[in-house]
Amino acid sequence: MRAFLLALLYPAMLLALYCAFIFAPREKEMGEVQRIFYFHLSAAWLCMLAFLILFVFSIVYLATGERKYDVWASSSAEIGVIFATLVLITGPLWAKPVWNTWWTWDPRLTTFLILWLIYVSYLLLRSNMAESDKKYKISAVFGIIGFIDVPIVFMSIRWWRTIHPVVITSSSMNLDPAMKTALFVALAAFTLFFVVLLDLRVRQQWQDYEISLKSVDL
Amino acid sequence: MGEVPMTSPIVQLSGVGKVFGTWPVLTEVQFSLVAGERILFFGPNGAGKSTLLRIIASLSSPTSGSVLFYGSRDGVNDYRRKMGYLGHSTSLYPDLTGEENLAFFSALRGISCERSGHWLEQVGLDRDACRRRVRFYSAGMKQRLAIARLLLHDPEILLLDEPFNALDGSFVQTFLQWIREKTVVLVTHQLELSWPLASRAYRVSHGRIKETEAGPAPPAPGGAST
Amino acid sequence: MSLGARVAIAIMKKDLLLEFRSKEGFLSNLFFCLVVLLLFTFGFDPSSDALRQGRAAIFWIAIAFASVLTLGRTFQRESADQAIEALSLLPLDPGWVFLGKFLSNLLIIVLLMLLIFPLFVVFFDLTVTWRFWLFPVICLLTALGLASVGTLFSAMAESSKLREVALSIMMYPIIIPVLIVAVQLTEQAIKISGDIENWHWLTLLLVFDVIFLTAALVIFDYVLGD
Repeated sequence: MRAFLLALLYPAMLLALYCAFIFAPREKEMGEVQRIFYFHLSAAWLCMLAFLILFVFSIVYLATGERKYDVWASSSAEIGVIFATLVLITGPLWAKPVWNTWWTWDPRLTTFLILWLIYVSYLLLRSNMAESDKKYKISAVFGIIGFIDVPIVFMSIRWWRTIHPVVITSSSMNLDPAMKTALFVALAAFTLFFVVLLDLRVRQQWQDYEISLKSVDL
Repeated sequence: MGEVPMTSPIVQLSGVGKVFGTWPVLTEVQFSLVAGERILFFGPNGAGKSTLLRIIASLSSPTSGSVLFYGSRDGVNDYRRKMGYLGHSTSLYPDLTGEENLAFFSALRGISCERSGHWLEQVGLDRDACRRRVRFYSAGMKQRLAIARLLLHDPEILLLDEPFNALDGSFVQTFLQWIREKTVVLVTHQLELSWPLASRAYRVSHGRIKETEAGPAPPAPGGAST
Repeated sequence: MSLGARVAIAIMKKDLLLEFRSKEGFLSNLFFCLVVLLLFTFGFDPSSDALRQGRAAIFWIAIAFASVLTLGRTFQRESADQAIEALSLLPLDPGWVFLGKFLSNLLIIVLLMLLIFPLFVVFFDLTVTWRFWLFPVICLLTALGLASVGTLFSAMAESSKLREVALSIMMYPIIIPVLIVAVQLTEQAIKISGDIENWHWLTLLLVFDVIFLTAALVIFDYVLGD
C-alpha cells in the first residue's frame, strides 16, 4: 500500500506540474504568475485538512489517552504549519503583480495569518514541554481550542473589514475548463503528497518513541 | 469480586507502570491497601517511592495498569474525602499567614474555623506564629503547619512522604501517636522511627517493589535484605 | 450551598487576597498598564488625527498586556509550594477549582479596566457622553473572554519551560476576536455624536464568552494533575 502510494505520487506530482505550467492556458490579465494559484489553493486546502485532523485526533487523545493519537495529531500539525507557511509565501508573490500589493487585511488573508500564528504556537508549546502525558494532554487542549477559535476569528475580521471600505475584492474567477482540470489535478496530487508525508512522519515519531523506550530497557 | 466489604482493599494497583518521557519510573507494581494497615516504603533515592505514593494518592495516573479505589474507578471522590496526603512540598501559600492558610483549607473541606484553630494549637504554633506569613516560617514550623492541614478533615487514610523531615524528636513522637490508629502509607528513610509502627514493609528499587519481613528491627540501610 | 460552590468562593477570595497583598500583584499591574498606555501615544504625532483614530486600540492593547501578567500568576502561586496538589485532591469536579480562579481573574481584570478608563479619558481628551454606559458592559464581556481563556492557559503554561512567554504566545492569537470587538465597541462608546451602532459586535463577544467558558470548564480536568 505504502509502495503503491509512493509509486503513484511521483507521476501525480509530475502531472500536476505539467497541468499547471503547460496544459492550463495563460491567464490573459494576470499572466504567468497566475499559475502559482494551483499550488497556493492546494496548499491552503491541505492546511484545513491537517488542522481538522489535528482537532479530531486531539479529541480522540483526550478521550482515550493513547499515545498514538497524539502522534497523529502532532504530525498533522507539523505538516499543516509547513503548508500554511507555503500559502503565506505564495499568496503575496501572486498578490504583488496582480493586486499591486503584497498584503491586504482582507478577512480571508487575515484569518489565515492568525491561523498560522495559532498553530505555530502549538508547535512552540510542544517543543517547550518535557515528554509526559501532561504534554500530550495540554497540546490536545490547545489543538481543540485553536480550532474552535478559527471561525470566530473569521467572523470578527469579516465584520471588522466591512466597516472600512473594501479596496480590493478577491473576485471569484470564472475558471476555464482546462484551468479547472489543472486545479483538480493539483489538489489530488497535493492530497496524495499529504497522505504520504503524514504516514511517514507518524511512523517516524512512533519509531522514535519505541526506540527511546527500548534504549532505557538496555 | 466475592470478597466481603470489610477486607476489600481501599486502593488496588495492578500491573501499574509509570513512564516519565522515556524513563520508566515504575514497572509492574502490584499493591493493595486494606483498612487498618500501616505500610512502609523504603529504598534508595530515585527508586520511584514518591511516584508510587502519588499514584496511590490519585494525584498521578499510571502510564499502564489500573488503579481502583474501593473496587472501582469511580470510588476516587469517596476515597479523596477520607484521605490526607502530605508530599514533598508542604502545599501552603507563602504569602498567607498560618491562620489564613488553615482557614482556607478548612473552607475547601467545609470545616468550621474552630477546628482549624484547634489544630493550630495541637501542632504547637502559638498565636504570634499563626499571624505571621508562612514565608517567614522555619522549615520545622512549616512542616507542623502542613501536618495541621493534613489532619484538618480528620482523614482515615494517610499518605505521607518523608513527614518527619525538619521535625524535632518530641513532635515526631506526638505525630506518631496521632497516626497510630489510622490506615497509613509511609515513604521514609528514617526506618528506626517508623519500623515499630509498620504492619508491612516494602523495599522499592528500580521501579519495583518487594515485600520485606516485618521483623523486630529494620533491615540495615543499603543492605540487600530479603 | 454545595461543597463545589463553597470551594469556588474560597479559592476566589484567597486569590483576590493574595493578588492585592503581594507587591508584584495588582498595583504593579495597574502601573504597568498605565505605562503601556502612555508609551503607545509616543508612536503617534499628537497633533495629527492618527492618535485619535488609534486610541481605542491603544487602550485595549495596554489592557491585554496587563491582563496576561495577572493571568500568569494564577497558577504560579499554586505551584510555588505545590498547593495545587491539595486542590487537585479535593473530592469534587476540578471545574469548581477552575471557576474560583476564573472568578478572581474576572474581578481583577474588570477592576483594572475600570481604573484605567478615567486615565484614558483624561489623556486622550475624551468628551463624556451618555454613550459611556456601554463601557462597563464592554469591560465585563471582554474580561469574561480574557479570564476564561487565560485561566485555562495559565494552568497549561505551568508545564512549559517558557512560563509567561508560553501564556502570551498561546493567548494573544486566540483572543484577537475579543480585542477587535472591544475596540469596535469602544469606538461606539466614546464617539461624540450619533446613536450607538453595530450591536452585532456584542453578540459576537457573547458567543466567544459562552463557547470558551464552556470549553474551559469541560477541558480543565485534563490540564490538572499529570
